[in-house]
Amino acid sequence: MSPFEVSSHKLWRRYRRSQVMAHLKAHRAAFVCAIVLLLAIITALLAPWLAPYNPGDLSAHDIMDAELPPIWQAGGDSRFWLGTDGLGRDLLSSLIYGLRTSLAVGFCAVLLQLVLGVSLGLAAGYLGGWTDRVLMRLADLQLAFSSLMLAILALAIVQAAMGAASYSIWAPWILVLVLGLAEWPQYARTLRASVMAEKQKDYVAAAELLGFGDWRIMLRHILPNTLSPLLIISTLQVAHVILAEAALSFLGIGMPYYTPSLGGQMRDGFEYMLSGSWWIALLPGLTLVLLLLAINLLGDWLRDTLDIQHQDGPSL
Amino acid sequence: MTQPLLQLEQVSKSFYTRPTAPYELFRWRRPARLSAVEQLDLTVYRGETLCVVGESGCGKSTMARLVMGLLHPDEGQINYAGQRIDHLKRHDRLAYRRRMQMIFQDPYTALNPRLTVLHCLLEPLLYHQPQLTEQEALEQVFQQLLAVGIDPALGQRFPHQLSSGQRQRLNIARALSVKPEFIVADEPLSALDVSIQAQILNLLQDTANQQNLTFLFFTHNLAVVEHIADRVAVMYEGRLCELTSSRNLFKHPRHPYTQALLEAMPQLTTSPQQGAKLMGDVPSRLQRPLGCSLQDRCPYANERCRHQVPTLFSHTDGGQTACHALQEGRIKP
Amino acid sequence: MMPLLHIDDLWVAYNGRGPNQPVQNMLHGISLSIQRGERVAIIGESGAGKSLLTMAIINLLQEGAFIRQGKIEFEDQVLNQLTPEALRLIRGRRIGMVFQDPMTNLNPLLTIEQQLVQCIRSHRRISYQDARTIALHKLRLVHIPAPESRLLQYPHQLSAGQRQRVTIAMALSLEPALIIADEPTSALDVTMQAEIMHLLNHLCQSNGVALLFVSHDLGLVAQHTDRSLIMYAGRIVEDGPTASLINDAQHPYTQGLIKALPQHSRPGSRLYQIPGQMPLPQQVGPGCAFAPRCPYTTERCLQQIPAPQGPGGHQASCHLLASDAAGDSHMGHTGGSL
Repeated sequence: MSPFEVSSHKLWRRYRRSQVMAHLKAHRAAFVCAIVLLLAIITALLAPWLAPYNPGDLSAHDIMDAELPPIWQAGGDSRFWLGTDGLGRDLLSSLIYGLRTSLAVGFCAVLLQLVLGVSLGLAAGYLGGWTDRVLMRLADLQLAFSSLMLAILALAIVQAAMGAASYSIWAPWILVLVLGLAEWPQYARTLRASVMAEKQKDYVAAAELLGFGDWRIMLRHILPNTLSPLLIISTLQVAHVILAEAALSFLGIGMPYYTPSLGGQMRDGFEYMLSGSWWIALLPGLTLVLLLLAINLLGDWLRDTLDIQHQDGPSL
Repeated sequence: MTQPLLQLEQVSKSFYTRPTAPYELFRWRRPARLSAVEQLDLTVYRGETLCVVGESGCGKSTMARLVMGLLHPDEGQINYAGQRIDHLKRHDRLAYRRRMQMIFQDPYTALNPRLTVLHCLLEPLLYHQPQLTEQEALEQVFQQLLAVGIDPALGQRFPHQLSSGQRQRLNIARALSVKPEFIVADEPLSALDVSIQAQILNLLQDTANQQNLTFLFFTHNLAVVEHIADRVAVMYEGRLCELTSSRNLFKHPRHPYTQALLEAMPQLTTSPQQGAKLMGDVPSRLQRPLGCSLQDRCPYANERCRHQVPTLFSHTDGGQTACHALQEGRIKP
Repeated sequence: MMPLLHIDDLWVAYNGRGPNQPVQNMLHGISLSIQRGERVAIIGESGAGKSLLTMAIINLLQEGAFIRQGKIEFEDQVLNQLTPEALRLIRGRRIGMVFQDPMTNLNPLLTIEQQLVQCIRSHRRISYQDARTIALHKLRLVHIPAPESRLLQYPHQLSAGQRQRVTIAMALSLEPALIIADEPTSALDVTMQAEIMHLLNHLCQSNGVALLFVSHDLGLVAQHTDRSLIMYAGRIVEDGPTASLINDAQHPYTQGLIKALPQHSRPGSRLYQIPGQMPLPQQVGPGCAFAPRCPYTTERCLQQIPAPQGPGGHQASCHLLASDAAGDSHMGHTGGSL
């Protein structure tokens, strides 16, 4: 077989031979977290089919159903397993759609951060000199501002400029853009540090001596060897962005109120806390905590596992 | 004598120290200058094997990297086949890149951990000869692997799945894959086990003979030098102290440092050797004394040695030494 | 006479790192003994298990490795059955250690004086001043120039050779019965190496301290030890007086090691080489570990693990040395070539 093609069959074989599953099974906490995250992603993807109601469909709910408790509470309604919110919307459906928003914003914003941070960090670390100085001062400048403050500022301006109606259409994308732009320095700095460490190694010198161009050395030789730190920050950043989105929505400048998001639901529910309808705020909050815990623990496990695999074999 | 291939003329390179521990940040001191090589003059002739001997930290690695263009000299110039190459920009240097290759000390860090054996050799081949078909390229790679004694069945392995001997073979194969005429080897044996060293040394010698390569070989192991070198340059603290043919060096070492090195060479005899000839320590590289760097350890040192740096001068048999005591006849040559 | 250190049939194994990895034997039935004042070398390539053996002796095995079977006796005590506290007293006090990298033994944040005094006082109830006097004395013993001023310096202010001298002084400071030196000179320069070897050797001899010297370099130990053990893939393949081992090596592996040294061939000629490489512990077959690389391999070598053969002091584990015709022809074939 040619060494160039890696068929899907071969990939699957390689995956099965790899130790991912074995390592996951050995760490029960990580295994549970992986399952939780996987369930959350599947739920988010299949939201329109899984959710009993569509929370975006204003005609589907009735204000008479407002503030119904979950079914295990006295007065619960069998139509609404987790009860309803102040507008009579099914809380379970809102949670499922909210999860979808949170995960989508989280992953997209991290992807943007990744692309920006990796290309700038790689350039800064490999090229050095002026490129490095300019890019890193930019990053320092960015880090000097709280990213949440920056996001609030940007979102407030955009919201005012666009008007509420058109803002609500673009809200998720603007959130992705703002959160993505606000946190690229995390990636850029980590990547720059690992690129500079890799650059010292002899294999990079060897590649240079073989006459390879800068692009090839950067993308084919250095970048693949800096993947493990990237993977680790990525998991932690997803959690961070989801939290930031929730916080912005809670403050009322994230998602518009009728697009369900976990943060927005908590804000809405907050108003009903005192009237005894605790579930409207608490259930989205618990979902958020569970999701972030799973991602963070998974990130920790990933870091430990990749660290160990870096050393090869027992040393004598 | 044949024509010179590589010439170093008065090459110097120094580095500045950096704080290595947090508390050093708070020392009120300017960064110290550490000179790695100083005013080095050396010529490598086409087809010969020149060994540079010296202890760790004497500037061997810096010299290897200067020659390869991975570092740029502060002063002096480096000529390759009659052309000055040290000031070339990266792009202009490409023409020389493929003619000279380097073999590194640690075979593991010199290989990209994410490239398999096959890809490691295919990449330079296809990069420089894009017109090759996959089949032709693979055939060439198999030949290269067989030539250095790696079973092509190991082609899909990654560097961490190879033994250290196999890794060094792969490094050699990669260096040879662009068909160079000049090889710089920076301590290629010191990271290897005793029983593997002989294998790699044989391999290097065989390829040198078959392909008529010129070798610049950096090592601290005198037994290896005696075995492969045509000429030997002895280096101490960034300067050359003796430059002569291998036979002369081992028969009549002239420089006090060379003599000490030869005496310290582990012998496979059980009779106790006499104590070390040089007492004391290598001077700190940051406070290098004025004059000869060996002055504190050399039994022949006098006032002149403490003030004036000795330069190379020729003896009748073509050997060169840098030593005042030898020049003045205080030591019988 | 009771030996100072006696190891009997020691097996050390490694728990597989990942899950589903089987337990791997790293040391296979090591037996050796060291008399008081004897200087013994353990020689082997990296991965042969030299360091693992020394770590097993002082019970500092890294995580995952454990003693599966066997007994390590030192001065009437069984080391591998002691409590950690009792072991700590023996380590340092009765067994001194000198490592390859002197910084493993030295704390970069303490002065030489603090380290030496701390080391002495943690094992002996004496005053600071007395401990300092001992430290000074030991520094003089290892030929450190101007020891008074060195006491006030930090490790990084000393050169590598001086640092190694300090660690030797530290190892000697409690007057141990055994010093384990794990490649003490590989981080040093060639000219320094000879001096440190000389020093270590001289001090052990004059104080009656036994020395266990771990190295990969036959030439280095040749002049400095009484007895040498050759290790290969976790086993001891040859054990004999150093002189007789070098001049009349019995095991094909030892012979190969000696023959492969560049000193033994004419300049420019091809070196003798042992083909192949040392197997990993998990790759060793049922027979002799060296069989795949050995020029004299027979069917028996692949099937059966050889037992130590040979007269009293000099033994090698090789089937060819068993008292049959093959052994004689083999001896005539290779023994004289060195």
